[in-house]
Amino acid sequence: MNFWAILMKDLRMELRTRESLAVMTVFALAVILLFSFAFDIGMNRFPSFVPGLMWLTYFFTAVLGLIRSFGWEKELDAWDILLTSPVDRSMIYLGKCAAFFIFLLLAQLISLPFFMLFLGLPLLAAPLSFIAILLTVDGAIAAVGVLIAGMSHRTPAGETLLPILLFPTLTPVLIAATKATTTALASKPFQEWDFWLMLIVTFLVLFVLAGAFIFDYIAEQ
Amino acid sequence: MQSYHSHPLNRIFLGLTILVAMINLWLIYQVAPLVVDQEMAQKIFYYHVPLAWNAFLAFGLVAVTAALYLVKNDPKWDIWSLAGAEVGVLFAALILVTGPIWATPIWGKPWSWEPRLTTTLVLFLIFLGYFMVREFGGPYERSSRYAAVIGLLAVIDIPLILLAVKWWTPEVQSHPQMEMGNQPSAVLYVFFFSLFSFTLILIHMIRYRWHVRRLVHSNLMEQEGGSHV
Repeated sequence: MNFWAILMKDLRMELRTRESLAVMTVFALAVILLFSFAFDIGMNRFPSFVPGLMWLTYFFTAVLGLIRSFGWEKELDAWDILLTSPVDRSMIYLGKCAAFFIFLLLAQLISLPFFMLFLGLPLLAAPLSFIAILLTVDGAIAAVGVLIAGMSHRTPAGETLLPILLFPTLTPVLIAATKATTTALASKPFQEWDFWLMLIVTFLVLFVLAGAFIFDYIAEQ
Repeated sequence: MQSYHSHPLNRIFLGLTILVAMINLWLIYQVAPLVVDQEMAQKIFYYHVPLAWNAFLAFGLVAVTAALYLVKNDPKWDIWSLAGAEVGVLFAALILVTGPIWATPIWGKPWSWEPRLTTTLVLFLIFLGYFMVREFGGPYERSSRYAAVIGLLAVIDIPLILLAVKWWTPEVQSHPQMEMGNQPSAVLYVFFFSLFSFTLILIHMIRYRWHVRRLVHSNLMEQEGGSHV
């Protein structure tokens, strides 16, 4: 399966260099620390804006991870070699999405305890709900992120275009993720935030399909 | 190279567009009655709403032609797409200006996260990125293809942005609280005439930008020794 070949390639490279994960995790930790100072949050409080801070942090973290993920492809013209290989382009897209999804998730697993510790995010109040939100939002970020990074890394402006294109497109995901997290962690019933989850899932499905279809047209040599 | 307005049909169309726009102004300020409670502030409604409808018409054109360009790889569609994006963004900017002008006296503050206005703002931002890709995206063909993808993604995103913003601020009134059915029929007629007038302006502007962009494109191709449209 081509999909697995691409996924394993990215995972193996990460395992050997640990570059993406190191960059993403350290960045997230640094931002968490800065946020704690900037907003002067004491212990045992859960300001309503912390879920928003958390998702913003991971949006920026994702940009760094995407830059790294496609930085590999730039070196030694790996991208051109990848495109000349007899692999379906949509499989390249899905493979890279899956790999990036895993990196983002790992970086979050390491940094989330610090959101609990420093910023008082009560993740243990609704762990299962939070995991559902986390998985779908990461999927949505990966779906759009890999598609846009797949274009921006080929432009002279390079990585500077990535956040400019990515963040406005992800607006609905940020709104939904923040609202869903805030409501779920306040131990509200599922009916009060299920529509947010549905919105994220819709975004995810729509953009994975669009990405798999469109990637063929942007991945030229 | 012929200029756009040297063609008689285009001149006639321009004259018609200007004439209709003048009649539109007269209708808005002389014929349409004042709406209760809003008085003169309501007049901007005759610009704001037609601008909005037409901006989304232009973005629709961008999406359709972008998809055609990606599939058929014919520069013709790319030029249509670019022309639509240029005029659509201009209209979006005007929506973003006229909305707060209306909201200041009526709602008491210029910006209140009205879902449609907020969606327009996000769309405006995405399309600024679209032009950056055009500008800094490298070789012409590649940046055109990338821009087409951004245009397509933006339009797929519209319903999601609108829903998200709507649910995000459920307390915000979603529209100028004005029941069209309860207004005197003159308000309605003038509104539809204004819609017609702005659609003419949109068509004229897109056709004009298409003409200019096609000249730019064939110049570029001549320099590179490529094929013409």
